[in-house]
Amino acid sequence: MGLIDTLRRFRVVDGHAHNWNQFSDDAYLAECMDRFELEGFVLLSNLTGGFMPNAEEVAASNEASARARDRVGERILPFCYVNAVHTDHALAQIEYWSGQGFCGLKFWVSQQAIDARTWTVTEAALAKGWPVLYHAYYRTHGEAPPSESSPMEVAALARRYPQGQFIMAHMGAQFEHGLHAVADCPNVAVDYAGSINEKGAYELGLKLLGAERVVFGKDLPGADYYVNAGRVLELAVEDAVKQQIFADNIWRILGR
Amino acid sequence: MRLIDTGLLVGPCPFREVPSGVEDLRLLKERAGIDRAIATGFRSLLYYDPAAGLEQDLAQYASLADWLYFYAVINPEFPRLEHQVRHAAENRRVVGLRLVPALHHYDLQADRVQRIMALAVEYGLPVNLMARVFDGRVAPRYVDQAEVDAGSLVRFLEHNREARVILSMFFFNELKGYDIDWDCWPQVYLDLGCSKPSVSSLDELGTWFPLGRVLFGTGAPFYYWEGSRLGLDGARITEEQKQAVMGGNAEEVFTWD
Repeated sequence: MGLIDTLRRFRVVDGHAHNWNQFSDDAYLAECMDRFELEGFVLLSNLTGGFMPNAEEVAASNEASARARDRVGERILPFCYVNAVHTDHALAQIEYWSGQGFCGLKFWVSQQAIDARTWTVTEAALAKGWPVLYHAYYRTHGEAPPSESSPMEVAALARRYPQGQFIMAHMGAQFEHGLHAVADCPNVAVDYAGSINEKGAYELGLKLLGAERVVFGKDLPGADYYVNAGRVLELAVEDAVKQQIFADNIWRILGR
Repeated sequence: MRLIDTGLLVGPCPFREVPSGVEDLRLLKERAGIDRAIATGFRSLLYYDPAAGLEQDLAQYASLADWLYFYAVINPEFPRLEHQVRHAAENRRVVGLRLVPALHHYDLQADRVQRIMALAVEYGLPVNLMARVFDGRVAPRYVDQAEVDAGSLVRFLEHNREARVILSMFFFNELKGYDIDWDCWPQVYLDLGCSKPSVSSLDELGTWFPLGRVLFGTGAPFYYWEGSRLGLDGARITEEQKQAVMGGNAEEVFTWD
């Protein structure tokens, strides 16, 4: 049996994707979802406006997510993108999009997780029953976006709201750092979405966090679907654990 | 179908425990269906004297000599270049040279680099130019990798049209950004390992780089292996092209015993 056939044995939800670049074309996005046989697709916006989007750019991002969902179908699971620096606007976005079928909150790099404005917006999302997905990066080289959050800051946010459900994206980039940062936060799941490909990330995630807290995300379209999926197939664990990672955990987090 | 992984990274890793002992590699071969592989050891990448590191790698993996071959990392600033290259060429388990300016920090136009390239041609060894060893976003802070820029790469290739050059650990967006007509460089090969493909990179690769000159390297076991394999399996290229990338092209680039 080839690896493609092996992958087909699993139901797969992409827990971390964007509708930028190639996926700004809804038809291509739909084609890829069919090609990859995805059961669901967590859409984290096209991040219009870069590192510090203004209110109009944030709104445009969410409108694009809604359009993609309307055109491609209900397999698209849109998260509401916000910039907590524009706190009132962020709260209004959560209020509006929660009535439009959006199912989670996405923080990127415009606010730090330890900022009081982030707490206010987080509280609004948690009140809707939404999970909060937070980009986190322990960046060892190069210049970080000015308000990028570290894994330890995301852990601090999660400890502040122990009743809430959080997803730390990219395992915090440097996976040993990121995973140890959230290991004792039972309300934090992680994804390893993206192009960082170092072996050991999923393995340590399972060891420190357990099988229920590791979610499959790919950071499409900036990363290759199959390259990401192969990392999970490579794990020396039971198929049931791989199925948890590929789909079951994110469905549980989304309450579905 | 022959499967030749042209880019294993083996030996003791200084940052974390990586499963690359003899038995680990034997299991990788069996599970992945690898027929042959070319490895580079962390010792030869990181030692002051890369040849001393290579000797230890060759000794450690001697029992795998029927399928596991090596690149000899050459640091052009290290003494006795001629001796290093000749020594590599005389060892049947060494099938190419590897230049790692990212770690050794030298100018690709330097006279001693050109001397290595001339020796490589003389001995019939392909030269692997490695853009990086580690993902720069997460490499330890004490690892200061120097980027290879487009201009430097083009000048290097222009000066070495006689040599077979394999580009490895370059990212797709870098290579596409260089805007180079690769048809004009028939001696240049591309190793796919850790190239950060996007959702469409592998589907589109053949539109800008000849697939007859693409090699399958993975960086395993430091990097995940099955993602690279599944990425190629899933790419929208023909089965014949996949088989060529998986092993057929490598059969021709390297001189095997």
